Amino acid sequence: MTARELLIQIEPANEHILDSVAPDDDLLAAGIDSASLVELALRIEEECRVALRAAELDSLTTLSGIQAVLERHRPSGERPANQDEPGRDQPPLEN
Amino acid sequence: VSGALSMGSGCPVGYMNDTPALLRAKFAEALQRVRFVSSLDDDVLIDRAEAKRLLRCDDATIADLVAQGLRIDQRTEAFSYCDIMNVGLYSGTARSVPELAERFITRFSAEPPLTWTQRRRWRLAVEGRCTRAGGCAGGQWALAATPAQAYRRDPSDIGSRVDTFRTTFEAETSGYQMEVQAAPIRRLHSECLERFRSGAWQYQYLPLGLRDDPVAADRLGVMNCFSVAGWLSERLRMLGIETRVRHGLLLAFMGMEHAWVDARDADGVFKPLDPVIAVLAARSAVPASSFASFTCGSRFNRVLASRANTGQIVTHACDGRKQTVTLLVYARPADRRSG
Repeated sequence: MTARELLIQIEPANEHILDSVAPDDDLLAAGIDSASLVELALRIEEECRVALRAAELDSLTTLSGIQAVLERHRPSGERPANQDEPGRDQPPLEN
Repeated sequence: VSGALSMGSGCPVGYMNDTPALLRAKFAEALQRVRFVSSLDDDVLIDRAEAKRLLRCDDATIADLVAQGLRIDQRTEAFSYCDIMNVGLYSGTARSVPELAERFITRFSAEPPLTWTQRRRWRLAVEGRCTRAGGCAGGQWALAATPAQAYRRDPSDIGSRVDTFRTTFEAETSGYQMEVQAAPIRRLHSECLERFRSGAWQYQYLPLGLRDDPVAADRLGVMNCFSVAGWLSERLRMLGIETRVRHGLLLAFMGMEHAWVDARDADGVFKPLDPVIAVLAARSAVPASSFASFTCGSRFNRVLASRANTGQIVTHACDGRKQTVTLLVYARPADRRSG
């Protein structure tokens, strides 16, 4: 699942907002509700069974940042849904 | 932390399959853990929808909690904000908003200590909501105490809606590591940790009146960062040690208001004491071994100090009086990766 798909799954109304959001745009500034981002963090931690690092939590503010976290914690054997998804070549996170 | 509910190691495993019945049981158990020490009249009241949102539960769970003794204002069918936050905090469901806030806020304590003091740039959104019963009547909003290190505030965001205040700004923070020399200061910091550890104090959300009355909060055995800062300040002053109670924002994925105290050490330098964040990290994260001692004299880079040392950071008046404001803080890095 991509960052975009996950945000729409959490809140269908996000689809309209995400239509005009670029990979590095700030999601809160674009109009994504903070509750969606909190739910997103929880879902990633639940589904990937990890505790995200502080720097990873901080990075859940852009589609590319979210995608990078998803890629990093994707269960082994699961292929990315979209090889062209932004964030695949993100540098390691720093805090 | 003994005497308080341990919420695990910070790794959220094992609650995904909680059944609705188990979730209801967990919330019901929380009713026994929370210390209900103030009257409903002293607190902000919230409606059922907001209570469900904060606990992330359904109507049946709320009804179950009421049946088991959760306080409800019979006239308005409203709940105490602090009651709901505290029930969530001690539910052990790992899903309620207060649990998530604590978990996400303290996550940095598990990172290498070097990262606690690095210079950081942040983009912040601060949102205040009027809590007047019956709805906001419209009125004035103000960022009463602009954080000292904040810059590039965008005034066009202020007061865009009458019932909500929202402002965005960027800020820079950094920390430092220092050790407290004066034994009485170190002893009182340790005493705070021990009071939480023993259960003499329980960390809870407190109504404004109680959070600003450390003597009463101490007597009732319920403390938060504001009351601990006040308590420490009073005890240190009794020993002839100069102090400054500090208010500000704790910067994280889900940030919040925060308070701590600066004490003038034997070398003449004011050094921060922040035992509460050590207590919260111990039960909601896997803090580095040096984190608790770091909170005695050192400052981490996720606090943004306010210029004012009292009162709320965002203030609002409507219906002819000052109203209590709930504050939401969202902080994200303003660096190359976040654009």
